[in-house]
Amino acid sequence: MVRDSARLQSAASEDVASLEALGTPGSTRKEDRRLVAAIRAGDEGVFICLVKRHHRAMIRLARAYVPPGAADEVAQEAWIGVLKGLHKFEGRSSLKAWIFRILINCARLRGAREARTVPFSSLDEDPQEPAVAEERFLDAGHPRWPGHWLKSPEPWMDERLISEETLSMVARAMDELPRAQCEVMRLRDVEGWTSAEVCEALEISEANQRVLLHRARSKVRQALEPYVSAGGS
Amino acid sequence: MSSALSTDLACKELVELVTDYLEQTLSLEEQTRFEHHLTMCRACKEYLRQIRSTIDISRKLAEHALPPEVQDELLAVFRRWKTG
Amino acid sequence: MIAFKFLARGAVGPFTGFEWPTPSASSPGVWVEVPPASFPNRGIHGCLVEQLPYWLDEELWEAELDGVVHHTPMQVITSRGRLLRHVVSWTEEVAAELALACLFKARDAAADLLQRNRRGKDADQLSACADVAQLERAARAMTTTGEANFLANLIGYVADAAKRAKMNHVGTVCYVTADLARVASGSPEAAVSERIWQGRWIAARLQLPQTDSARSV
Repeated sequence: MVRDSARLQSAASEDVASLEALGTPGSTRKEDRRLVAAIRAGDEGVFICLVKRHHRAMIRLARAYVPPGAADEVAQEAWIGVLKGLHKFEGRSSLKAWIFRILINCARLRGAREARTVPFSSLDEDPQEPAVAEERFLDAGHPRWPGHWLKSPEPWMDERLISEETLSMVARAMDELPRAQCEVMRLRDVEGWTSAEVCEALEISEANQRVLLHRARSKVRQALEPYVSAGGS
Repeated sequence: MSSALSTDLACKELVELVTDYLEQTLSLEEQTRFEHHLTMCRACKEYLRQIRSTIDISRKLAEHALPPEVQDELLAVFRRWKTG
Repeated sequence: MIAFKFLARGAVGPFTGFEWPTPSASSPGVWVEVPPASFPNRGIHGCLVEQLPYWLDEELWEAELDGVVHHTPMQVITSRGRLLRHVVSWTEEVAAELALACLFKARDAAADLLQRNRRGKDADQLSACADVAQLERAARAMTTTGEANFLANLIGYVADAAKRAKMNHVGTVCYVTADLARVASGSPEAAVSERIWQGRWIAARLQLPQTDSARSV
């Protein structure tokens, strides 16, 4: 867990172990304050715990804003920002949300510099698209089954679901989502954040978050369908 | 007087409610209608299964290991901040 | 109160995936309770006899429901419940019997209306069908004229129900035949009556104990 060549100057090892559990959904403000105090006191073990908890998710989220190569740098910049701003953290939001807001700001700034199109608002870019293409359903004029399936979804094949190829396909489909949808699906479904945590970090409403999640999942399912269906390629 | 059937969901509506269903934000009545529809519509049952599969696969994308070189870099960042 | 639950294979909740504690030879399953704050959106769901057809699934269980009781048109929701016994007489074969019973009842209703509207020949043809495949073919053939009218629609329902009966989608057959009843009579109550008939069919066929009457809400 800890490399020999990088000896951490840490408080008692049990502090580190108990702090490993922090940052999980449901972390309390009290625990956040302990973490912050420990880091400000110079505890390396605690800092690395915090890093381990969030760094990969930060990189993944940064990729919504900048080219993949720049994501690591953005995440590192964010940690510098976190350390520099730690004395200002008041605990009004959770530590996790606060860290990710810093990350998003760094990513947005960097993204703007790299001239990647990054609309500032978190609002959705394609409000009208249905979860499933309209032509898959019987139209409203059908005498018995208006709006019922015309072309039903084919069952997915288990062996295709567990393949590495399918995994990369899902990753790619998420990368291609409009940014706001990508953010929400990454945090909810990949990282396992709660809805409240996502709303706090991205500063969006519950309803808005649900709509984004809905569109994201619908699109990713749609992208997967031809590859994992019994009838697919 | 009520008719449990007069307000049945069409499949096209159900697929738009899937996220609300999974988030448990449907009203009791909507949830009942949603679940009843699944008992009489194999296609929608399959659709829900597919959304769940999509989520399950996404979960596998999470990686938690921190590469050692990244850990070293960030430790260096921390030490500079401490002394700075 | 006594009620019924349809569960997926292995006494698993079909929507929640909850693994119900099952009864042993000597005692009922353990009580399952939901926190009062989440009730009734999260609750123990059960069917009265008349509500059985809405929830058909692989396993039928007799259950005891207790605590706070919330009646809805399609189900009863309570704050606690336990499984009493697995009604093993509910099998795929009985489900198929139910599907056929619904289908031929619907066929008879459609044929009756055809007779009364001077389409005796079509009525007789449908009535003469002895099996599901034959009925589906006959009904489908009658609706290919492209006419979208009341009678064509009824025949269409019969064809749809027959197709699903052939595929052993009993839940769908029960739904389609109830919808046919609604259209045939022009009243939503007819669909509910059809469901009540279906529920009582199941109770009689499996000799189920009585439950309280379903209440309209």
